[in-house]
Amino acid sequence: MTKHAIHTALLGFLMLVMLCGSAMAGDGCTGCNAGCADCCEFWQDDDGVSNFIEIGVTSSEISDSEDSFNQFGLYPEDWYASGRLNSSDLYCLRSRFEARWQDVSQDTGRAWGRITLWPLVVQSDSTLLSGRAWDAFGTEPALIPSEWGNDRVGLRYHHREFDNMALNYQRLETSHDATTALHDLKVERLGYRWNLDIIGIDTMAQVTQRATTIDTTLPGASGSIEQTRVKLDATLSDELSAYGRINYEKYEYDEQPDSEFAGADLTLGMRYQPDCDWTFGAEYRNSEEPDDNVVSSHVQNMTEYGFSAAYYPGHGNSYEAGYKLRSMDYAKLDMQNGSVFNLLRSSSVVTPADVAPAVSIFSPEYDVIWFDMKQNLSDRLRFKTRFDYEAGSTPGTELVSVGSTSLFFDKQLTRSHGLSWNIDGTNDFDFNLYGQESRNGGRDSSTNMTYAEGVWVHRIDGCSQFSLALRDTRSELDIPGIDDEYSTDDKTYAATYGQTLENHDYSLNFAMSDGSGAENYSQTSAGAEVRFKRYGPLGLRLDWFRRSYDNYPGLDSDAVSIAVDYRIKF
Amino acid sequence: MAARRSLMTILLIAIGVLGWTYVGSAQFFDSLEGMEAPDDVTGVDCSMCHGNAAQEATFAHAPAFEGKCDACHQTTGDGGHGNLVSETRSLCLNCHQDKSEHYPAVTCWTSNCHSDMHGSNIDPYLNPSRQEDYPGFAESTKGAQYVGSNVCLSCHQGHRRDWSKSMHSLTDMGVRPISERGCESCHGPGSNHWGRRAGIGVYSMASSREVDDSCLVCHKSDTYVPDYKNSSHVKECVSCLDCHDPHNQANKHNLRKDPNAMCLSCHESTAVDFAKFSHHPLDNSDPRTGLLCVDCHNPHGGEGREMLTQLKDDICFECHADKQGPFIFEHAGYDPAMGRGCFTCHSAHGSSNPALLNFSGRGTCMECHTDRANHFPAQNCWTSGCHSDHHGSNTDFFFFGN
Repeated sequence: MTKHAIHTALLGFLMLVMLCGSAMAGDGCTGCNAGCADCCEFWQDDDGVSNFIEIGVTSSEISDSEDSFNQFGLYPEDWYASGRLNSSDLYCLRSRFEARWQDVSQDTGRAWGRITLWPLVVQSDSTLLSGRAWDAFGTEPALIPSEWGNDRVGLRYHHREFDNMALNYQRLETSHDATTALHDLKVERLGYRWNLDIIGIDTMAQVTQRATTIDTTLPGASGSIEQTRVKLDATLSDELSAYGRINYEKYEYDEQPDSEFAGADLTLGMRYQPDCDWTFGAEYRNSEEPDDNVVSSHVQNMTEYGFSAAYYPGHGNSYEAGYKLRSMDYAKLDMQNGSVFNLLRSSSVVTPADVAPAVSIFSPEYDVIWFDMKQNLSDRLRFKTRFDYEAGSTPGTELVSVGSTSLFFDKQLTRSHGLSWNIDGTNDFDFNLYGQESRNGGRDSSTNMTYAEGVWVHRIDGCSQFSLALRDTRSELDIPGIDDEYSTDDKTYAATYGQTLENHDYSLNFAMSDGSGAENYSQTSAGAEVRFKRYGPLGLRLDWFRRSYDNYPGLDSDAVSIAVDYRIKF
Repeated sequence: MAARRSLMTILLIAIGVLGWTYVGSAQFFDSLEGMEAPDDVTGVDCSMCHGNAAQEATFAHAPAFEGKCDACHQTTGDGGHGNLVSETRSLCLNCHQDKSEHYPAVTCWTSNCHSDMHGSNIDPYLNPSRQEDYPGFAESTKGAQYVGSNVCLSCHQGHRRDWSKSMHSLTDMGVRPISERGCESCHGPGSNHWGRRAGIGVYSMASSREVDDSCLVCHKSDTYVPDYKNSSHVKECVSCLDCHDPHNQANKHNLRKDPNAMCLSCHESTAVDFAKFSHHPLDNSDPRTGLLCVDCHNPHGGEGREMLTQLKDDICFECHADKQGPFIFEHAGYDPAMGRGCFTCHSAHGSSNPALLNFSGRGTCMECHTDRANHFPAQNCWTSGCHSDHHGSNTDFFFFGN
């Protein structure tokens, strides 16, 4: 509580300092009137290359955590290095180091490489339980200690015919102290990407290959994946261009019945641009799913044909429309088959061959239509709208087992509309509406998700800006027989203010969310940052966060953090 | 006590904003102190108070030169800033009707183009920063010779420190042809520019396509930009220079701001998503992980309108690899061919519900499983410990956990 009071007092003090600073800043804003020379004056004190060390400390009252960091940069003549080390007593430890080396050879042109190391170890607590479940169990959820780590190493190489090769390695690891429903995971990934400019036929090619190993406590999911991807973009003439994408994935999961299996995906497309205003496109896509081991109902393969037309008359106006026909082979497993049901409930390993007599193949087709328009209604008013409509030829009830009425949507309409209004050169207002309605004909049920938002940006002068955003998000389940207890209505308010002055910059931000319906909660965050350009530069930042559930006070959380950093040049 | 702290913080912020507003307005009114303007100045010679810079300028705007101030300004009432007849470009189009499709910005002067609207000593098009009506670099630098970056930096000292840190400074090294080195590799040869404002290629008036073409001369085969010309950014006329400052390496990749702040400065609604209860941790918002927008999106062109680095679900599997499958018992509802992949249940940026779910609790499941509304209704489908392997299972058809 004492810390809360100190942090709150510091927040107030910092704001008062900035308020006084603004009032005393007689020189005021110069960047807007005096051109770039004054803004750049700060940098003119430097005589070219200089090294620096930046030190800082962040104190966060999340779990009595203190986060400190130091950062350095070295700029000798032909190489570059920078690093950052974060440490925290209880919360996390991370460091980031980046080195770039460049060699200029009189004989071979140029060659340079860059290595980035980003090891990260996090000690944190997590829980699986939402507020609703906590309420159901009537007990406080247990926190599950977990560790999270992430290393990344990358190398880009430029040299003669190997120009534009990127090589990267990534390691990701999550582990939990206790045996829980949370699965431990370790992923290692090595990949390279090579860009080729095939000048003779005016074609760009990109080859990506990647090997991934997965080690997880989730049964049967450990193994390796090899991916190969080729992208081609060819300019056939001034009006005609073509592109292609080929993906091939090979899996090796030792614990699955068929340890080696593969999937592939092919996309081919053409664009025809008779002039600058019109573009016509056609695309074909086919994918073969890696389903050698899949027993349950699933998509086996998918084919898609589509075409589109776009008209760009200029001045930011555009009209686009398209149509796609998607067809697939869908394998449905009949769960009402008694022998199959008993087999699935047994402890024996089940293979697709075991359930083959109970599988029937459906070939549903989906029509997908979309329309997109952007229109300047006046010099200051811009309107945009988009519709996506999808309808299936096969009722969803046929895609699941007889007797089960759960199904996918039959029809879905997604629509978004936006209005941007430049009110008077210093004020901008954006208003967006979004809605998505999914209809389930067999069950006479639907889901409806909508949001509306407004964003107002006010530029007080060339150096300061204020923005205010409001958003109302609603999700609604309309299912016969139950009330709307799973529907939600959330409002989020966010405001920012920032000003750039000759000697210092500062910014403030504030956001508040209020949820009602299925989850009653409120969340508030505020932050302030000031950077004194002439002293160091010296930066101060203060953030505050609070979240509270009306019904589940045990899940309340709040945090305050203060950060200071200073840069020494030499 | 908590509510009191919240109120105190809100109050302090409100005081701060009001304070600034007050200080700003007080300074404004102070500046007006002692000044008094008549309500109606019809028939009065404007130059008595305002002078007439046009008559002394090398290139004058004809109405201003002739003293026809009322062609643009109102002589009565309050027409807003400058008491203009109109604050939009329609003011200029009254005379320059043939320019209706010429760089359709809001106004012709606040676009930093023709802002010396009364007269100019350097540019017949009344442009304070340019001397010709953007003829392209080849025309601007016709007959010029290459002089080297050091000559440029002797005057443009503001770029001196930043340039040396920029990746672009590498072009000054090695055995590249002189036309591909340093400042002049982009701005063209600079000998005609020495000592005057003209004779060099400038980008402030170039169209987004011209800017992009210039950058792509070198960057067209870069690892991450081969699809750039088909990207949504290009369709929206966003140019390379909107995000990158080629002179400055203060931020990685010559970005004008911190990478996430750069994206969110335009995508405000996404910023609101990241302020919600449950959200993916951006680099600056959570010390535990730290994601960048570009971990999922390729601003230079990627898959679909969202410019994703990979097909939708593959992006999620970059970190959530254990959800990738294929599983022996697949959860078919979110197969990308049938539904929307991971986004059948989850929001990408942020959600008001835990775990970035579109719906609250079991409402997520009932989007498809509409007959399970009353199936053990007191508990969530997965937190109850029942269907905890709902992304897919290799052991149980009903996704029961171990």
